[in-house]
Amino acid sequence: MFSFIEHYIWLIPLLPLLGAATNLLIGRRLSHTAVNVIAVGSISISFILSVLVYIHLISLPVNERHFVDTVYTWIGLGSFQVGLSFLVDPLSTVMILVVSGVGSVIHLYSVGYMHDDKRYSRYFGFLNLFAFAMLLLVLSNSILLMFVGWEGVGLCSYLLIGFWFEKIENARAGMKAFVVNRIGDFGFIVGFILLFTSMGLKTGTWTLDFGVIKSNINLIPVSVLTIVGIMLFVGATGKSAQIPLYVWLPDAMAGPTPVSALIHAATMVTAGVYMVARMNFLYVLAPDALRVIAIVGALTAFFAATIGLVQNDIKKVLAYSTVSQLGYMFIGVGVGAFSAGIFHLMTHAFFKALLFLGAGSVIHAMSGEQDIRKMGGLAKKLPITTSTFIIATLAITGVPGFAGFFSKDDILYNAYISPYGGKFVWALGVTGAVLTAFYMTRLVILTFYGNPRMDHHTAEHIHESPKTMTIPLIILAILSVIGGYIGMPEAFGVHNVFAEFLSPVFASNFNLPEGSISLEWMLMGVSVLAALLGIGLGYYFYAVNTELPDKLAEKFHTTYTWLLNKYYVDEFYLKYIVGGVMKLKDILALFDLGIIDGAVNGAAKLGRKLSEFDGAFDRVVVDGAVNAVGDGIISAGSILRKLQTGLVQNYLIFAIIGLAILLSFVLL
Amino acid sequence: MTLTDYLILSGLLFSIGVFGVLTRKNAIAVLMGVELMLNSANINLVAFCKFVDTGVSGQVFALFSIVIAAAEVAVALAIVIAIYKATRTIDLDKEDTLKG
Amino acid sequence: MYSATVQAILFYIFSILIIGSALLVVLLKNIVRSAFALFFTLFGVAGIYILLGADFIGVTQVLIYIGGVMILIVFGVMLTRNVYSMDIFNRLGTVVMGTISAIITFTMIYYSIKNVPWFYIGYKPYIPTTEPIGTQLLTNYLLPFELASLLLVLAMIGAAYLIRIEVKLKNNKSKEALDIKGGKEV
Repeated sequence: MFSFIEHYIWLIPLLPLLGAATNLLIGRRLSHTAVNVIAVGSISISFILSVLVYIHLISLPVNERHFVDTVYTWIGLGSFQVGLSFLVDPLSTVMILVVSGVGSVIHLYSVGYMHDDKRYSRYFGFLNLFAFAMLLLVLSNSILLMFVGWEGVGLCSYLLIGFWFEKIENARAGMKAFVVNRIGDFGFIVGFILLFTSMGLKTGTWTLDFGVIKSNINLIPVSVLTIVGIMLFVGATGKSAQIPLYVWLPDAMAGPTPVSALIHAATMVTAGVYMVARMNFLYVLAPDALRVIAIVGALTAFFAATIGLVQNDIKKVLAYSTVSQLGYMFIGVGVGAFSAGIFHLMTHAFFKALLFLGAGSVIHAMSGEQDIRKMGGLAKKLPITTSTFIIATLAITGVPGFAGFFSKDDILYNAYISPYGGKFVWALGVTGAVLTAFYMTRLVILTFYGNPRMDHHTAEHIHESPKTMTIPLIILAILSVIGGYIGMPEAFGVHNVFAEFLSPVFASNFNLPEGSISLEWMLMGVSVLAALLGIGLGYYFYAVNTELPDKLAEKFHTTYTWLLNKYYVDEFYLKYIVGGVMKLKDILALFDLGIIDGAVNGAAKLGRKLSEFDGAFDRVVVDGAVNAVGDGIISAGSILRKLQTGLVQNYLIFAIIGLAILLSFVLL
Repeated sequence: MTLTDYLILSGLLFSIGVFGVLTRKNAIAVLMGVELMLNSANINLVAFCKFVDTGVSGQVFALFSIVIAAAEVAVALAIVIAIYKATRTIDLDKEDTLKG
Repeated sequence: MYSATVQAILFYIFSILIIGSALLVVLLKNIVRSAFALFFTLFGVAGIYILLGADFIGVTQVLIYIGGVMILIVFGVMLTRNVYSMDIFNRLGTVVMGTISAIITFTMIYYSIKNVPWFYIGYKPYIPTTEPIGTQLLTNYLLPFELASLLLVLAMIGAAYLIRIEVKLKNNKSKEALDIKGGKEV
């Protein structure tokens, strides 16, 4: 029906780009209203266009839900062509809907949250720029263009984390995010260049387009594919905060809260998961790479959850929760259940964005306080915030009926039955679910319930947030509830609509084994039990026996300190990795000073010696010669002047002798 | 006598005149040496006039030579006297103002 | 005209006179005596002229050279005679060189005389030369004749000018005068 949209795909990333350009260049002279209209309007229109794309896509038959729109050829080097071309298929449609939809909601929220910031237009400019980069990333038809978007979101992440750069820690956090991302990007670049060259050398096709790579992929040896897969995943660990490159995400909480919601919950961090899903045709041919992904994801999920248990900053808890949930997504794609991973990506976007926006609302109400030990009893004063926050918590813990239940359960079930996962991965996932439920319950109880622990001054300023902030909360809350129903498992007797929608993308050469329905019900029960156990423990620890946490903290003091200090990973990195680089820097500086400067100075000394020698030569030899000539002439003169006696008779003698000599020639 | 005898005579006189010019200290003695040389030249001229068929050109030449010699002696003596008045000596060894 | 031997004898007599007197001129210490020696030399030269048949020139020689030049030289000797103990020769090196130069000069002349093939026609009869000389002076050699007279005038003026002296009169004006005492104010 909306087939015209096939030729206007490029509008979807372009509109936020134009909004960014306008707001960054002339935004300072515009009123807040104008900035709002430009920023929120551009991404909202992108969302509407994404909906049109979706509607058009489902009107096509299942096998034909795939088209490419090329705007122009960006690189043309003989047989290597990269075009500014966009790929629309079910996967990218899901992604653009999530990015533009959640993005629009968060843009709206930012209007209220940042209303008295002094760099208002710049904030929205960066936010739109980020939307452009992310949409470019998910819509691109070649790895190279995706990498452009990949770098773009990294850049915007840096710009927005360090937005309040007057405090040096915020600037440092921005730099940390960028540098750690770059380390991951190095792996990504190695990966795709290896893919490019091996494919080019083997098949003679030099390309980075997904479709062409997909058709030629089985000509490349599995060992090469495994390495490519792992290197690409290294990039994903950087972007999506997995072990070992997750360390930037907790520090990134230094940025404004809507930024954390958009970038570090809903969109940028999901780029890694999207990449693995997009390159599924590669990964299914390299099973070892998939196993690595699954194990890393599982470990991260568990590891981050343990840290989140004891954090006291509301945003840090949510940050570690994000890392942990991303681990789940990688478990999903790592065991081959690509649609499950994407499904969890979507639901996580809803409830994690809601959690962050809710936290922002709490911080706003608490006049900037972020320590949950100083909160409490906010439920009465912030009703909308509290209720949406609780809805999100129920979603994330996997309580049945909410979105998170379906997606998490899908992942855990596939982890159990998949040959790339196994029971270890599943066990880690279940344990992580218990921990997730525990720390989320702890967070809710300490923040919203109990006796108020804040000081009097702050208590008086507590107020519910304005409508621009609460309406997004409500929208996201609704999505957190109903968003899961499109992915209901087969066990319920219905089709998994979501998986069916995505199947053309993943279907070609991979099939997960089918498990039995009863197994599915059993595993589902285990996950529900895990969630309820976590919630119950949390309730007990923090609502019933409130002394217990402190007593346990004292008793297991070492463990508690380790958890509180994030296993000292940052300190380890600083000392050994950063320290190692610094030592390398010193060695190279030594080389530079010693050898290079030495060479330069040596050349200068040599030049000086040469000129001294030259000067000496000049003085002794040349001047000597000149002086000798002069002295010779003077001596000759002083001898010859004796001829001038002044006596005429002498002159006559000379004349006669001269005449004699002349005549002797004539006469003789 | 043959021509060569007269020529040798004049040559000898000329050499003696040269000797006198180059070796005497007194300026007037030098002048006398010059006179000797002039006279030897005159002898030459007149001898040639007799022995070679040229009319009397040689004698005319000798006449003019005598005239000029006379004029020259006058001027030379005037110079010598002027020098004598200026420096009270006519010792040629002392006349080395051009030295250098 | 005369026999050859008479000519030869006369020639040798006059030659000895000339050469001897010339040697005396250059070798005598006393300059007055040397001036007299010159006197005799000039007489000898006049005799040679007569021997050669140049009568006019011989007489002119006696008149001008002896009567004019010699007088001048004697005057000069007299006027500058206040150094009695002057050496006759200058520094020794110059004497040696002078001697050598004189010897060289004679050698050159002798050599050239001996090696040139003179051709001559022998004796010519004697004719009085006054008339031919006069004719030549006024026809072929008129210009040198006139110039010679001009030269004499110039020589006179030059010589007079050379020995003038500035005379300061009592009223501080100066006038030129000939002074033979040398350098004193009048």
